[in-house]
Amino acid sequence: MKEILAPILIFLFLGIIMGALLAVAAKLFHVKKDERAERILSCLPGANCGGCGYAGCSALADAIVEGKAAVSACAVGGEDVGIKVAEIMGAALENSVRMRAQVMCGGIDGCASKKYAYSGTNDCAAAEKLGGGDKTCAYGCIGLGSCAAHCPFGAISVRSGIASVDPEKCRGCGICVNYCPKGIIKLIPFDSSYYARCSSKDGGKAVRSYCEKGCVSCRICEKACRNGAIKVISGAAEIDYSLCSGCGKCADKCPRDVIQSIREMKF
Amino acid sequence: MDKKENLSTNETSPKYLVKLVAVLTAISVLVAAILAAVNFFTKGKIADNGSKAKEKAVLSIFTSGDESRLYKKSENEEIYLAYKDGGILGYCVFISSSGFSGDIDMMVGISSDYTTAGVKIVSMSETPGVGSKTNSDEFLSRFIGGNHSDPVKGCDAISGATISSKAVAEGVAAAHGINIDLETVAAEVGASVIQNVPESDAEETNNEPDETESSADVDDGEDANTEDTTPDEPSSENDPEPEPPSGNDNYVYGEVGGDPSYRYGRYAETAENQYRIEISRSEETAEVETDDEDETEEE
Amino acid sequence: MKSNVGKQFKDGVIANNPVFVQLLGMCPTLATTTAVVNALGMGAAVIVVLMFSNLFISLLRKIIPKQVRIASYIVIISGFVTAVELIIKAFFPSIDAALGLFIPLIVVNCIILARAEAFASKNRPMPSMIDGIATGAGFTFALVCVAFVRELLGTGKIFASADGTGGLSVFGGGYPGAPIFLLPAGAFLTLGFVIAAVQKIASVIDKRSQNKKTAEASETACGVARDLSYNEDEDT
Repeated sequence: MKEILAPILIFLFLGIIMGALLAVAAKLFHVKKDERAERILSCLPGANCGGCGYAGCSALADAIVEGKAAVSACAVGGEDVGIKVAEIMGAALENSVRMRAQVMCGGIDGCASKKYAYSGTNDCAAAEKLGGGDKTCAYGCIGLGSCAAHCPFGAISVRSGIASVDPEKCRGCGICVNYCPKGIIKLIPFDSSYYARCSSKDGGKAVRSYCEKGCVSCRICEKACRNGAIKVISGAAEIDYSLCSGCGKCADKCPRDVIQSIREMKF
Repeated sequence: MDKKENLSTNETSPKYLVKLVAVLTAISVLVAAILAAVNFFTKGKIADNGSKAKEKAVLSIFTSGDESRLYKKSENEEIYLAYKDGGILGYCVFISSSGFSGDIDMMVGISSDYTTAGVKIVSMSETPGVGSKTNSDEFLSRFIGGNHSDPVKGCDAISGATISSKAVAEGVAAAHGINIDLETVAAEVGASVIQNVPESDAEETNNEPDETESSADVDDGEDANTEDTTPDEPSSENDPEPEPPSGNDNYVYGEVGGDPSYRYGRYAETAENQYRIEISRSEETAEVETDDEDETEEE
Repeated sequence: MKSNVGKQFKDGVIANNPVFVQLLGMCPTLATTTAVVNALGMGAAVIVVLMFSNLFISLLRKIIPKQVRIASYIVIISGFVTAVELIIKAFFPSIDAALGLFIPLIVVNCIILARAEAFASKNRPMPSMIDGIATGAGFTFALVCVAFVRELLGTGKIFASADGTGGLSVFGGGYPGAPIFLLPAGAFLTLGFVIAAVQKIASVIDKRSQNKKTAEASETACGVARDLSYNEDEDT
């Protein structure tokens, strides 16, 4: 009996002493922290992707509480997270639309000509330094996959010489936008149906010479669009998604298939 | 992920602090209770295992024996008897002496002529490769043949393992120090004593020139000073009178006690100004035990 | 639910192996892998401790306040380790002699606290328990791998019993054994090489699956491209 009682009593004693010690320490060394930050942290996805621009989810939580970041700053979490965070902060949620990344280039191997054969580091920024990459088009996707390497969700892969974003995996965090040395990745609304995949600022004659898929500024799409959503701006067609109705007439009419439907892309 | 809305936050309200203490104490008590229960149920088996190991050790010393039984277990003594066909071969004392890193538990077997039949280490946790060398036949077999008046036979310690070796030797000496009269014991348990069965299978190789050994002061009671510096070695051929080591006057030669195998010895001054001869045995053909003084501690 | 268990096991043993990938729990890996039997014993002990400590910590996760988190975890873990030690001492004394000090050292094995912090404190009891078993299995697998090499090259025999006797002689009686493999230096060397081999195998498998994926994908992309160029010809 004593053998059973003794350890229990000893641990009782120890537990109380150590617990008291920890309680005292908790009181003495208490750091005043806004408890909302912790609640926000538990709502955030926890991927620490940095897409919001802060060092990680806990940094964003602190920033939101301090008022430095918007309630909807977490693009990855999307609307659900935005609503929860807004609730905690007691603020109203501004309408945030889910975005996704799209590489605005269609110059796959065989369609876009190259000015030299590149052999070097598998990094777009490195190739960019060598005369702007190996494609003749100065605005085309280099296709070495720096965007893919930095995507925290593995949504980008390089197919046939250009980068392609898987629309389902992409969470619109925007990291790839920063890593593309050509700046041709754009964030477009998730539910948009069409995109114009050319970023070339050159005129039609030049584009015809180096890329079978490039926009030659013929403006047929502009005339076809009833809403005026698509316009040729400095050499390439661009869609204004606030006006686009998704009818697809521009895609039908484009003689060079610059305008693509998202649904037809298979992954 | 498990998302909870009401996380425990950084409150420092008294209620929260009490919760701190309460939870830790509760968990501690719960764990203590579980452990006490497990201990209660395994205690018997563990003790059993321990006694099995000891009995096994007894029979490994008295190899011709067929049974070993605990004779007496008290605060100071734990004695086992080795039987063969109902007769007592000898007795074993279980000694626990403190070694370098923990206790060295050993079984010292003493046969019916009151000489050491063997020493077996049951458990030790000495430094592997250093102190653990004491758990070798070479070392332990040196104690065989020692008797009550000279239990350790001037045995040398293992160099670099002074404390472990001393612990073993002190254990052997302590075993011999316990007064057992086998006839009385035999009468008590109703058996007869089997006389003089040579037990040790190990050779009496007291002078294998293996790794350098230090001469340590291992004797019970006597207090010889061994602060000597390293003496030079005489080489022992078959000379009846080996050369004395130069510069060291402490050697005597000749036959000691009429035993021609005692070639030379070394004497040292004890605290009471008595000269005590530490005798080393050398076989006719073997080389001399190297006599490095290694009073350094282990490690 | 079933697929989750399978995935957790695959994770614990291969993708996230505590020894080969996370490099946790090195101390017992180096110390107890002198024989395969010892490795199995150690692995079994760790599996039991992991399983129960994960289970209990998961059950208590909502009650334990933040400030006493670590203290509570350690009390629970050491409780189970002591219980396991007593059971080993009672029913497997030869394993106890072989493993010695390293059973109590399981308390401070990083793996146990790491899984408690990273998983058990945030998940439900059942998945936590499975995670404990899976991680323990991975640990055992790693230990057995290292022990196999060390025992084979160090003594020439494998599956010798806990007290050193027996075992299958692989190289024949004449093999003297290379004692370095039984010493700490050999432990480090063996572990290093085994980890290197495992990582190489993993990267080769990875590359193969990557190549397969891009091969499949470029087929589809080419298909699309072909369709488009067909359209283009029509219009121009």
